[in-house]
Amino acid sequence: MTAMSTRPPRCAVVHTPAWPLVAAVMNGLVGRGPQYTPDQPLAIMRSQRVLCCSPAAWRDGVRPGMRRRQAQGACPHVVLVADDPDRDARCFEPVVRSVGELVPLLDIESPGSLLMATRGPSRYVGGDAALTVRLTDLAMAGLSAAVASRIDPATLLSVGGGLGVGIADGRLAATLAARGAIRRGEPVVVEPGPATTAAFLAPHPVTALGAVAGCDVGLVDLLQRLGLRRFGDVAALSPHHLVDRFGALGHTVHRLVSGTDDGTPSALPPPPDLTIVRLFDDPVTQFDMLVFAAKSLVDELGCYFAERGQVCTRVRVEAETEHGETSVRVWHRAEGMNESAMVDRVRWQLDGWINGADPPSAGVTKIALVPLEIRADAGTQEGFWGGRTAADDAAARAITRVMALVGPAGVTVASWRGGRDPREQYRMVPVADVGADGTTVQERPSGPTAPRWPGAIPTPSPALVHHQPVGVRVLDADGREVSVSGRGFVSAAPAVLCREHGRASVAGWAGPWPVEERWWDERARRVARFQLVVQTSDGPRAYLAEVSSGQWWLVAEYA
Amino acid sequence: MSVSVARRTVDVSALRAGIPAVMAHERLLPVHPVLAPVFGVAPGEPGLVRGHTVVCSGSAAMSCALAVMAAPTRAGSWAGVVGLPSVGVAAAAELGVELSRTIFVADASTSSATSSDMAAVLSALIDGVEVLVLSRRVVAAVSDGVMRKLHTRMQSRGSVLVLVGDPGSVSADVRVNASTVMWEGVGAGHGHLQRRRVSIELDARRRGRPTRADVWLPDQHGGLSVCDDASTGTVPTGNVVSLRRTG
Repeated sequence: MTAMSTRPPRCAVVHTPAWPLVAAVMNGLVGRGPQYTPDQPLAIMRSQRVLCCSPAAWRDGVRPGMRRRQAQGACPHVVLVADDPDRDARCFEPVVRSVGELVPLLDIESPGSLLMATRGPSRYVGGDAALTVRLTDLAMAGLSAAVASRIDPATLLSVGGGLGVGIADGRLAATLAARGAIRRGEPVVVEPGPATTAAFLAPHPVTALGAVAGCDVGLVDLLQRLGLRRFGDVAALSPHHLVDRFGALGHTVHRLVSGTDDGTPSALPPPPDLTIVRLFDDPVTQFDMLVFAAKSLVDELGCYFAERGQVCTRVRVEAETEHGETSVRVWHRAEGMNESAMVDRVRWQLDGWINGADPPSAGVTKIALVPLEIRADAGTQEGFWGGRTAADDAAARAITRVMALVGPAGVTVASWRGGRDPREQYRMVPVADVGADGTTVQERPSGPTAPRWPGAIPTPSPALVHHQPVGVRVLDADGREVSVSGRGFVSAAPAVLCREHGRASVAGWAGPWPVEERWWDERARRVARFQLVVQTSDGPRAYLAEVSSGQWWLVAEYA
Repeated sequence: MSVSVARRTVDVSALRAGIPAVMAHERLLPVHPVLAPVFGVAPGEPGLVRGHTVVCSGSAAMSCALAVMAAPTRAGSWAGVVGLPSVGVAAAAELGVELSRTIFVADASTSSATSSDMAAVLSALIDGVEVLVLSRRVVAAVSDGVMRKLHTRMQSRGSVLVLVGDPGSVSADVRVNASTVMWEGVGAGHGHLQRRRVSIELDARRRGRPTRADVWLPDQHGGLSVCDDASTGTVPTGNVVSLRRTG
């Protein structure tokens, strides 16, 4: 409990909610891609869905989560840009560099979000209020340097929802303050002290725990269903009750919502000598080779953590060239970084540095990774019911690859749509249109009260449905063609089924079941259906047959 | 003499201790309870052995393959159906196949694609699905060497391959022959198809004598149920009313 009495460090956060949009526009302006202007409606796509959209697109009805076609339907001239984390990180680099002139020790939470401790800088510039002004100015200066005054940085930032600066006690409160600053249009400074922090946090909805603090979505959902909708509701509970109900997680949540935790629970200081360095005898100028070298470093670090059951939440990445230029960045991720997440961050940093506006003048001679914060790896618990499983993710990856090989129309799922004919009861829908999460497919209504189409063939259904019906002849005992009259009378009992490759005797038959559909338009269909059981050399076989204008067709087989 | 025997026992137990224990559910995929007495490595452990190739043949091969893939898809596995455009989806749903976890892939060999594309499609699918249902034509489209490679890959991924129809030169671990004994419910111009008695004969490698069982596939509700001889002939065929020609 002594940990609870220590106050979390005072932090400042500089945040742009939809940074990918800003990055896309910047990329267009500095001439590395198509030309965008901020007044064009713009949306970023990830996995065929809209990730975020510019205010102009929002006004026209584009919303996050929409599919490509829905977005284009809402706003036909919207420019859709594929999501690219590398581009986001590269475009964020000028901002980091500019703010870094005042505050050298920065944590990059993600491209678009910076976090720093205010103790030193605040005293240097003369208070928190002055610091927010300086931070805003520096971020703007970094942006305008990058776009070479081709556009007003404020206009550019407005595409991404603006720039918010917030200062408060602790990581979570500061991040929420920065988000609040965007809504209010001015920096938010929460006065220091546990009471003011708790009062500031209380009205926030618990969904922010998932969005900001990286809490499990299931937990947030459960809290909401328990009627605990605001931070204040959760903080008002006794921590003992939360621990009873949720275990260690309850303790963490209580500390988060009451503002007594800095967001990294049970963080351990890493051993002081845990620095992994790679020195290159020959300076490396190629970006790919650097990333490759970084990957082996990350693997080494990953092995170290895996052996101890730990995960790194904050890491400092350092790179140095032959001429002594350095790039030092601190990356933070509340959920912990696995190896691929860490490689991504190293790549973003190196990409922003080497391919950025102010590239180093010589090859890189040193890369170092310094873990700054470590915690026990609690792992991620996958859902018991529903939820996504590892099998679903593996299948989604496989489906994407197969779609690339056979084309998007070749990979389908079955969706129920009803009908009398076994050919039309299910429709094959391309996975590309519905997504492969298994939730968008319409299931056939089941159970005793499920409605059936009048005139549908009763269960069981045929296991083979021919999409090209097979033309056959059906003869009666005297060798004449069996026909069905307009009133639905059969001329004689079917006795022989003649196919291309031989004849078979009919052992049983049922029908005719006349169907007259869509007589009002050109899709009109007037058929009589039969079930035929024929005797073959390898036992009886059952077919669903149709007679239409005197011609018999086998449409399905009960195989 | 006795000393050497004792030493050998110790060696074997030491070797045994070195073999990692594999739980039954890691080795097996679930199987429909009606098929449980037929399938499985040992009588007490019903299930589809991961990495095995199951060949369904006979006049009820398609229904049999659908029945085999039903239980794994219900339990959360994904299934891929390749090169069977005429599979009856309604019948699959009635047999209990979870359609939201079943993907149907068009037969690449019918289009302009070559057999190497087919092999690429299959190997991509093996990475993602645990039950892969293939038609005989797909197997014929890829060469034997490719098929062997796929088989190895499948064994390492722990998925099950289900072939519908004559397997050709593919080596099968389990051969299921499902032959129709009789159809019930349809008479001479009355009733409708209600259920089918199917005799399933299963011949697994390294399992000795083939097992056989009679099942209703499909039963009155399109599902799969056990066929005890007492119920034979008691299927309600409905009220057969002799019709009179009018008007």
